[in-house]
Amino acid sequence: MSEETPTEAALATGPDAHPSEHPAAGRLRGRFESEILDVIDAHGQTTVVCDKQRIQDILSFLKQEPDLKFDRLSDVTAVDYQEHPHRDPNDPRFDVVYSLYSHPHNQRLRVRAQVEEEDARIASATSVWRGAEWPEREAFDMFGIRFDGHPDLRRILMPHNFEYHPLRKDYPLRGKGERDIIAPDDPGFAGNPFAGLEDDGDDAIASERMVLNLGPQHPATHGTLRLQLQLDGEKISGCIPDIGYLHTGFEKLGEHHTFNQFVTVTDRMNYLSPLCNNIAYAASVERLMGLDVPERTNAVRVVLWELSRIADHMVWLGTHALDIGAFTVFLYTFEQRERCYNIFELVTGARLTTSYTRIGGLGWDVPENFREVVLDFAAQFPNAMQEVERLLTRNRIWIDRTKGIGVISKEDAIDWNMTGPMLRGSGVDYDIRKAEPFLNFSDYDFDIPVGENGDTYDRYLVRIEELNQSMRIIEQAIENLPGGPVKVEDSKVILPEKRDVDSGMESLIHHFKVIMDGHGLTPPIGDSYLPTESPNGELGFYVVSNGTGYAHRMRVRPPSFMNYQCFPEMIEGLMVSDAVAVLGSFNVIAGELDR
Amino acid sequence: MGLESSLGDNVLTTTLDKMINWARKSSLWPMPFGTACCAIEMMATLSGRFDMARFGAEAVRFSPRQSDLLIVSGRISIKMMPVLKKIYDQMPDPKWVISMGACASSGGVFNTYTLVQGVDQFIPVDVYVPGCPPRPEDLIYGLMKVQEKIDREHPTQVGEQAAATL
Repeated sequence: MSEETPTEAALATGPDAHPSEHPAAGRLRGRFESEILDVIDAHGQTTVVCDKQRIQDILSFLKQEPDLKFDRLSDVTAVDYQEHPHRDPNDPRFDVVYSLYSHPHNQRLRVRAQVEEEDARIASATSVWRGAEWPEREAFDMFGIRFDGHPDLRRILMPHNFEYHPLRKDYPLRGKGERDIIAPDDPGFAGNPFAGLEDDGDDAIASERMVLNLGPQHPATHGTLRLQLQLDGEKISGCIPDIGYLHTGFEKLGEHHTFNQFVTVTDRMNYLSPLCNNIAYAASVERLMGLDVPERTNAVRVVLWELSRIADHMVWLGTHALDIGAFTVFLYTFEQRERCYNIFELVTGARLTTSYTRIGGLGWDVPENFREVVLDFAAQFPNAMQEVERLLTRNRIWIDRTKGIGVISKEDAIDWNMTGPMLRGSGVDYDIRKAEPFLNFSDYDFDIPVGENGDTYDRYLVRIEELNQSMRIIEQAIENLPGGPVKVEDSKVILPEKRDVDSGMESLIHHFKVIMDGHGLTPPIGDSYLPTESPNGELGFYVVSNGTGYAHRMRVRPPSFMNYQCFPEMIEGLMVSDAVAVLGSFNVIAGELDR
Repeated sequence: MGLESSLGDNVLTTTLDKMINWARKSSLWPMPFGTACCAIEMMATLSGRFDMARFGAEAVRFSPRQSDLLIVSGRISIKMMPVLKKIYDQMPDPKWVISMGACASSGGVFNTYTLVQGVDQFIPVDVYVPGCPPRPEDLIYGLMKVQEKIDREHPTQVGEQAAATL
């Protein structure tokens, strides 16, 4: 590498870098001396760069060792470093990135393994964590990296007969004309997915198995999910989900939008709680840039974050109950959601596509009567919830349909990479707001509801209690809303006020520079990830920057996608109608599932 | 005057066309093809505050064979388009299509490799509802536009005769 292009590690840690203090760094160096190429400490995160040859040993070492115990693989993805200005052209083209989390030690670690273009394969992590299954399939689909030893390495988001790997840098954003023709055959499966699995062996009274296609256009599958069920009588003996029907290309768009433009795209990812996406995204980029937003920004963000959680849970509860047959609940919860919408509209100007955050703050301050309307909402909400709870919580039909249905144990939930209410329903006391506080959540007093049995009913109870806790947080935040600005004072990041631009030369120049590519908002070279507790679980943006106004890679760690992958295991042996109840408890948001 | 005066107050006369149109437009049964953000606003339109039942279109049927108004709400990917086409083909005539929101109408903000840039490339659309997403009032207005369109049809005439009157 030439003198002019310093390595990424040097850029991140500076010239007087000292050895990483992360406990895994020393342990890995001791055990895998020749495989560990580099340890990078940047933005409060540690990344281990390693050789791909013994990746499986390294990962299982990290999981097994009692003092490390990275028991959850939070994400697997890949980055295509072609055209990255600071990558040595002789280095391999791809990085496979593993994002690890340790529940016992509350620690994170990122492992990057380099993969060449010519031999784009690496050992699968599915034998270490089962939760690696879908993210690896996605990395294969999007980048064409083969994971050796993966049980079912098929395309997951694109149609099975798609020819390219869309997130590679040499694939154009607008495709190669695939979108102008309709595929004549089934886009999800090539032939019967259960072919060869029907064999009942020597069972003398074996009945013929039936394959039932559920979705994608089925009311209980929320529009875009598809399941191929194999039925033995009325019991489900096998299930193969097929997703990707709402694949939109968010991650590719992230590479073609400037950092502030991408805020609008995040609205449309999880459309039940767009503000959470806005805020999580802005906070991720702020972490990469090392920006500290003013206190008022954080407090307003917390109020809106929790209101979004309420709005999100309202849709979940309404549709979940509707799927099981309780129509009235739907009408009640949508009324509450409309009240949340009123507040969002007052603050952001839009009901749903809010686009309220900017990198470094908020678009504008909240209106004067913000406190009043939020308190009005808070005053009537407990009564409304009581009405809903009276309909469901002790309802015999509701209990029969949900109790003991779709059980998943603590250990399995962690192994399958579940987060959010799904994980807490199984009794794991893990909430990112407490464990790794963002937006100053550590300043607020609230409890984490945890279930016991890990069934559909417990997940229902957990979410219901979360609503009460959200209300507590909102009341604390709104009562102590600090004054001051809502944006950082950095003319390289934030657009000046419009009236100043009209009257002052300096502001006009700043305005021009922020808008013009390459002069304004340019995060430092490197990568950063910020986990947040969205209504469905861990939502995070892994941003790889190449020092320009556009991200080099914009990875979304989607909670629904990760949660949903263990669904087939959970419904095996249940009735078809139970599958609908279990699916409702997942609250799968297709926009975020398929991205 | 004329015939009506001899029938008294209890009988109204009209043309068969008008009566059929009146029946059709007053009880549209939507088939909600909801995929993304617009589907959430469509649900809001159906629920209490906006209440699509006021326009006779609350009998939502997820079976295409029982419905006559296809509301495409949300982005349609290349993987989804064959499904949408099949759903449309399964609906019995007469049928109408609302393309709700920017994505269904034109691809919206998503000019990407995977999104169909407007469903009207593959199925006929009667009414486009702009917005990202449209507010529930917009969807109701779109529904009223479909009703107006139905009102102008001549269901008793067939073939070239019908085409000439449109």
